[in-house]
Amino acid sequence: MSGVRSVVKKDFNDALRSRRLLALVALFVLFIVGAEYLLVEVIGGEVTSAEALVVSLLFPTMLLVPLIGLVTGYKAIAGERESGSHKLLLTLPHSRADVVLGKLIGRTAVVFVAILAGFLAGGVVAFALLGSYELTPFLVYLAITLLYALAFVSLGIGISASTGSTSVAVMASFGAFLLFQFLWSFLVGLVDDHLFPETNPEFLQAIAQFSPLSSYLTGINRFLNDGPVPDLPYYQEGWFAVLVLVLWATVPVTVGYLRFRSVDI
Amino acid sequence: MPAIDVDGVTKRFGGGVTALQDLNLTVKEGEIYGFLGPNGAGKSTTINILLDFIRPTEGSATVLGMDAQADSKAVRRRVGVLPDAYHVYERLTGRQHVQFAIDSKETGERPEDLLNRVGISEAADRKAGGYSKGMAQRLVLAMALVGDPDLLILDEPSTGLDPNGAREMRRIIQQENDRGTTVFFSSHILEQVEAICDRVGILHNGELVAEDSMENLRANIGSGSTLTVTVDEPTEPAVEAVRDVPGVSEVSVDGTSIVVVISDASKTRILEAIEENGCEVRDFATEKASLEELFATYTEGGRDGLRNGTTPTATQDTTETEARR
Repeated sequence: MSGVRSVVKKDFNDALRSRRLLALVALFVLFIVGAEYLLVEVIGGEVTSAEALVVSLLFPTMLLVPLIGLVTGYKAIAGERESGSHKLLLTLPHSRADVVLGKLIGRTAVVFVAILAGFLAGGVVAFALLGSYELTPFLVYLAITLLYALAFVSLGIGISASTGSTSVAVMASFGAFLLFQFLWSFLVGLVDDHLFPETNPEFLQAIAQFSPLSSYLTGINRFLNDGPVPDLPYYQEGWFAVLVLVLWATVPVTVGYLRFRSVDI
Repeated sequence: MPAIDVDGVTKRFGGGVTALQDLNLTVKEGEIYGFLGPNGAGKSTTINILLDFIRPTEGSATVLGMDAQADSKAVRRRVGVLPDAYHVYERLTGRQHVQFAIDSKETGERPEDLLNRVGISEAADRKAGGYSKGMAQRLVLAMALVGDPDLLILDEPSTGLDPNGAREMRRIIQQENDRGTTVFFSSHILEQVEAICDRVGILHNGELVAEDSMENLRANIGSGSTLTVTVDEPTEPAVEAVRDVPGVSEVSVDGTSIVVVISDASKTRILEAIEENGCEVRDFATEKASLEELFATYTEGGRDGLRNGTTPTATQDTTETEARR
């Protein structure tokens, strides 16, 4: 484990000094606080409960968290290979698994710091604006958002481990962002229309749920907004959403590792 | 147990490039082994295989008795490496770099001590992105020295160092070797290898073309050296006078230089002979020709790499060697 630990420490220190990352954190905090201010002060009366406030914050988190995750992840390994600093990393006793896992933990820590900063600022402002609110929904919201973030860090690191070129990594990350944030449901719908014009098969609806965004929104809906809903199909359940996010958090980084493990560097 | 044992290693890259061809190489424990060859000969490829950066197409290698592939992490725990073409972490300080190596090897040393040994302690808290190439080279050497390794692998260690820095580098290598560390270092500059190596292997086009002690290698070629005297204008009487100096085996004129191949003659007498015949001596340089010739003989056609010598004399000597041909 010493290998993983030293990679994490080095990487966290290094990433914290990156200006781009600080800019992202600032942007995130600004978005959260700004959205809250708008909702409460400008739109007013509508926001009466903490849950409503949380839901109104969904837009900044669902869009910005993936960006922060990918931007933090995509250069993690490809960037070192491109510059040559990976030679320092790998002449020291780190296995390639140490490198991938260490990078995943280090970058996740950085992203979590960013998100916690945003939520902390958001919490303080919400308290100031509303006077009071319940803590639990806020924490549940935070937990699901962290898992959502982890999914994108894993995707970014997985991409980064698969290529020695940061330009390939950035294009792949951007492509993945567009595909899963904006095009996924549309594409699944397209397939549905063409292959099964008359019906709406269940497995396709389940596949539609496989984007991190859908799972994130489903998770928020099940765990925060609804009471128990009877007769939900399994792919609309909260546990399914969490499972999909966990898959996102583990599969891309594993695939990236398998490629990185066997490549000449 | 050999410190390094490369056994029949062939490495072919995609696109049909063969970087190494059936390479066999043994570095004994406790010795300083110079791995010589022009750029592109396969030196770095060999080192990359020892570190498991790349995998051999055929053959295998052991380092300190451990398999270079299967036990790579254990290997790297006991080896200190100064790689080539590396890049430092620009946002991290020198101290953080060394601390990284200390954390990784779990040695609990103090970064200051190591930075002190390589002479950059005053830059410890500056970001390494602002270091010169020479400072970066010292920094990475400090990282390599962490944990008192049993084996030092140094890929072109004097790259980016001025003559003083290169000398300092040799001093540190010698010091480490005196403490029992085996040293394997690659270079395309003969003087540096000659100064400290016990044994030398010469690599050319992915094959080991010679491997022997420094003395034996030189004995195989002869013990002569070359004196190059730059004058205002070479004259025939001067050349004749030099030819008559005992122990001079060959004299030729190259531009404004008189090139003298000496088997066993006094340099002073040669210089005197030139001056007495009306030439003004502007500069002169001695070069152990045997080694250059030896190198050139073995690596004919691949001497371009020699132009990257770090010291001005090395570059000059090379140019002259080539000009004579």
